[in-house]
Amino acid sequence: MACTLRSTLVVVGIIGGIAIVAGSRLEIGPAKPGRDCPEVAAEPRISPDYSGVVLPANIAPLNFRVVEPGQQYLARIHGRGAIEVSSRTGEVRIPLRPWRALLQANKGGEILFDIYVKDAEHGWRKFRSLSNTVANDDIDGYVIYRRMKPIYNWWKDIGIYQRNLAGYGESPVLHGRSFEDGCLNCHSFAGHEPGLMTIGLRSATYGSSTLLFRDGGVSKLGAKWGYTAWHPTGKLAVYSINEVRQFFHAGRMEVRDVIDLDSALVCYMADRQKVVCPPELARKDRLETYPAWSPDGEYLYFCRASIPWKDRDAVPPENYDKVKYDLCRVRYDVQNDRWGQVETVLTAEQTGLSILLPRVSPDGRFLLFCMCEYGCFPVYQSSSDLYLMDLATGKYERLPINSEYSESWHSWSSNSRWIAFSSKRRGGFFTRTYLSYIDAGGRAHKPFVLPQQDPAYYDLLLETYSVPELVKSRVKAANVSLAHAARAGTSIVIDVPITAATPKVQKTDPWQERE
Amino acid sequence: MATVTSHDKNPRPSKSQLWFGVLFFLFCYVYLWLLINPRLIYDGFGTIVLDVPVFATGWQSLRDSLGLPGGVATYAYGLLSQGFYVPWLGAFTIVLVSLCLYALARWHFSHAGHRSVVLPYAPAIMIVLLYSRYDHPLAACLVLAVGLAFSLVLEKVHLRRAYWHVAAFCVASGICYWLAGAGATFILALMTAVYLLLLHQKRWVALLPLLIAAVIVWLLADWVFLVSPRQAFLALTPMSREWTDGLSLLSRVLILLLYAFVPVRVSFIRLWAVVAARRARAAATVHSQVHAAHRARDVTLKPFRRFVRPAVPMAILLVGLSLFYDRTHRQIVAMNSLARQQRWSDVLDLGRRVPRHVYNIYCNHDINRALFEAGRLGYDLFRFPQNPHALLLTHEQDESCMTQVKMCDTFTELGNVDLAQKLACEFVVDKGHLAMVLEKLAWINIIKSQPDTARIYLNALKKDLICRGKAEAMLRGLDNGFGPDESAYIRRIDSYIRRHGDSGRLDKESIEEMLTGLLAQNPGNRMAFEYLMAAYLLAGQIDKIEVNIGRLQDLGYHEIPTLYEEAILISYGARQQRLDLSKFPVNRQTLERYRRFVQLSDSMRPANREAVYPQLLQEFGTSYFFYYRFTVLADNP
Repeated sequence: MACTLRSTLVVVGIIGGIAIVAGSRLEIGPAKPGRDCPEVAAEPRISPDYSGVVLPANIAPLNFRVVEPGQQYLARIHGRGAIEVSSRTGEVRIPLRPWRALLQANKGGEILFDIYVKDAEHGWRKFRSLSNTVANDDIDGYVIYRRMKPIYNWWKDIGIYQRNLAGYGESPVLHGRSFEDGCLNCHSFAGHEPGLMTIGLRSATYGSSTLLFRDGGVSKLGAKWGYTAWHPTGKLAVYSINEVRQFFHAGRMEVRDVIDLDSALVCYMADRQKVVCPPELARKDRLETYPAWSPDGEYLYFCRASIPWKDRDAVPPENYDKVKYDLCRVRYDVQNDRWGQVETVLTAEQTGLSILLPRVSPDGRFLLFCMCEYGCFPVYQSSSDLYLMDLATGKYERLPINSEYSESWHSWSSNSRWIAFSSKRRGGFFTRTYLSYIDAGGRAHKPFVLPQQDPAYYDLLLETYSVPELVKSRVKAANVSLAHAARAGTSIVIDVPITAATPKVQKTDPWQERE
Repeated sequence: MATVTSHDKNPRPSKSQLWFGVLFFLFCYVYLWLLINPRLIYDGFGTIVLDVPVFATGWQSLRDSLGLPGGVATYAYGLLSQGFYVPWLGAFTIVLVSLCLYALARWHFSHAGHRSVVLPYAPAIMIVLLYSRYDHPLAACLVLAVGLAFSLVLEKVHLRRAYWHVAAFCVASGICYWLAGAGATFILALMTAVYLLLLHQKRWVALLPLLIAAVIVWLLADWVFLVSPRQAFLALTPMSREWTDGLSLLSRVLILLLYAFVPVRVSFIRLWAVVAARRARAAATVHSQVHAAHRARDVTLKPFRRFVRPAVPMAILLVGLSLFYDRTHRQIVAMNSLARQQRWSDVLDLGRRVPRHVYNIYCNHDINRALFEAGRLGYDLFRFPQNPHALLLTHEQDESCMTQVKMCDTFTELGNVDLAQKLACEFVVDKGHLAMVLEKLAWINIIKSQPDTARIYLNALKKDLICRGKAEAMLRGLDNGFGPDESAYIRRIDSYIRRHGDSGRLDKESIEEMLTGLLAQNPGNRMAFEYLMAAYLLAGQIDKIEVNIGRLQDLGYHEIPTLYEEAILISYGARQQRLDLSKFPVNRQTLERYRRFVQLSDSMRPANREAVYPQLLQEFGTSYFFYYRFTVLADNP
């Protein structure tokens, strides 16, 4: 009797539990919106903002979150073909294969995002469709960037990563913990091919050096390369050596600032494994930095500024906020290893701003650069904006894709149709990677943030994405090989010619180079 | 020592042992909960306890942990450490881990052939002693537990062939390294080597486990986890910086002992067993006589074994606590906790009870802050021992994490939010996402009108188990508007932020430059004013006290604080000028005290110093008169 009662109670309890759970999930009303669903005369708020953008057909799904209040959500993404994604949380995670198929089917055309939201008061409502365009031009397969926490005097947990743009796969190229929490920076590639790559290293244990990945092998150069540009032939690389100092402001949004007390450009001749110092690129009374080759290898573009301070050791130096860089170029004859005369392309006096980070499009048509109020480090300047110069006419314009915060660290895709750049537009502090389409006429289209599998990824990411470089394929160097090389001794000794332009080796703060 | 000739198969404890065991752990629990108070340890993360056990909810955090050697143990360590926020839960965690180590030690000793009653408690005793010193060896405990557990499992698994043993060991080492780092792997290898050598009598291969483990660690670190060899072999070991940073020598020795205890003890058991076996063989002819004698002795010793021996661990623990427990250190830890909770009146109460000879600079800093919050900085500064560097913790060239955390808060309140932001960001880079620092960064960005950045910090803070509610409340505030108190706070600090005269030397300014700069921005910055005056007092710059007295009226003071009065009197006295009371309406009582002080101190000679000095100390020990005469002038005769 007691056993029967107990069994009955158990069964009733189980049924009751199921009923309660089911009831909580039971919906009153239709599970999907009907055709006559009322429309809201406004676009839905989504995060990240993936509306009105031009996207490549080989990009990963643009997962997003609907920020409108509701209990149920449905996203219908359609053009030629359609995908439907429903959600209770507002997160829309688009399945990969249908997304790829949809984009391929709509290349050159438009795809619409119809967002439906259901709440207790209104039931299902449809918001105004979001329209995006699929470009005919694909983007390169990978983007390589540095990811780290915003650093001041100390660094830790820095890595260079490669991200497959067609999906969400991210893997480390090299991480600082492979060599005792060292610093990595200044990753550069020749011609969007990861077969020729350099990475600058700083380590308290292993010193400052550069890893050179070339012809399938990794060498360690006994000098820290700054900003690097490989000649398209791969015969030489021009890199900067910078006496860089960091200091801090009060009363500004961005506390950090950086100055090059001195800088110069030098050439690494790959066949001779030797560094030469053309006087055109290393004047005693000038600061030279940010080299960039034209795609035909005939011109080297770079930035150059007069030194407005007398004391070369004071930090910050006097008139630090008056240093402004001009955009210059110099002709180079690769066959005869001969440099021409430096020409000024655009002066700071003309623009009133400091001109930095020139990058020529692979088709040689445009020059992308940034300008900011002063100085050499645009990522710390909220005034930094992207500009595009038509090299045929010399005319330049400020791109409409800028924000009120810093835009910088831009790079081109190999087909000259896409750019990746760093922007602090979401809040002004954390840098994210944005992609933008540049059409054949030089018009820049609305940028979109690098998509992530979790739509809320950027909402709580305390790291910055820095220096995105678009490359065609995966980095071929195994990260194990790079790690070994980072810890190994120098395999190629670099003697930088000592001239008056060479920055002095001084006692350093933790932030600076140790060499 | 009671030994067994064959391996014991986990004998059960007797009833008395069980009861004493329960009593022991119950005592530990109550002691840790009520006396030690794990909340103090939680509040000390990143400061008193230099380590910051980070934990964030969500799969991303777990995935990140799984990609590093010892990541699982670190993840568990972070999770369990959050429980220290609730004192009883923290105590429970410690006791649970201690119990686990006790059980593992006991099983190992039994497996080695010794039915030990007292010694398995040793790890638990060491853990409680460490916590009584406000160290946080939880990571070490977890690592040790994993290593011992793996070792035990390997011993219990019966594999026929040797190569299966080797394979099993390799797999176990790999998994152990992934779970709990080199520390656990080393324990596993060491225990296996000890058992091979001393239990299974396989001398020729005894070193093999150590070699194999080293190779596996190196291979995994180099090819899978991609960490440097040094970090690979140090990960979660007693030699790693994370474990030993900031620990006293005694604590380091204890942690080493804790780590090495079981292997050493097992080795000892086996060696003794070998020696005893040899002796037994040699004395076989008189065995029966000795055996009878032993039986007689056993009967006599039974009450001892039944009641006294099980009580020994408790006795050892009590003795250890009486030696290790440091009441004054507890007060310092408690003060840090109170300061972190901004319970300033409690900080002052406690400050009055802390013996003067154990003052440290951080206590001094917290007390000065509490004095300011209580409106007593200009009155009671010298009621407490003072170190001039304590005001703004300027005693280090490179700020320690404790300085970073405290000064982040102080600078925010002063209005130097940019420097606060710098310190907080540096802390996050070095130590990780301490909830308190994330919250501070959120406030800083709210004050600087950067709500999107503040949201990012708050969304990250939402992943913290303890501070989730606070983060959600602040996010609601960002979306819907803050309450009147918070809004007033934001407006107030925002009004303090310097926006002019930027020289780009944020972290190179002197205290005076910074504070006068803040006052130039907003003369109503009371904290900047009081700290500036305190700095002048501590440095003996009495002329500057005079110069800045004019600010009092703007700040709404009704009277000149006593210490400033005393400084002015000293200044006029030094110049032998008559005080203009219309300019400086000094209290009559202060004047009288000054005359009395001058009279007394002028009467002091080397011959009567022993009589006069104590009188001066008693009457004027908390005054600026005394400080100036016997500290400032003593340093600058």
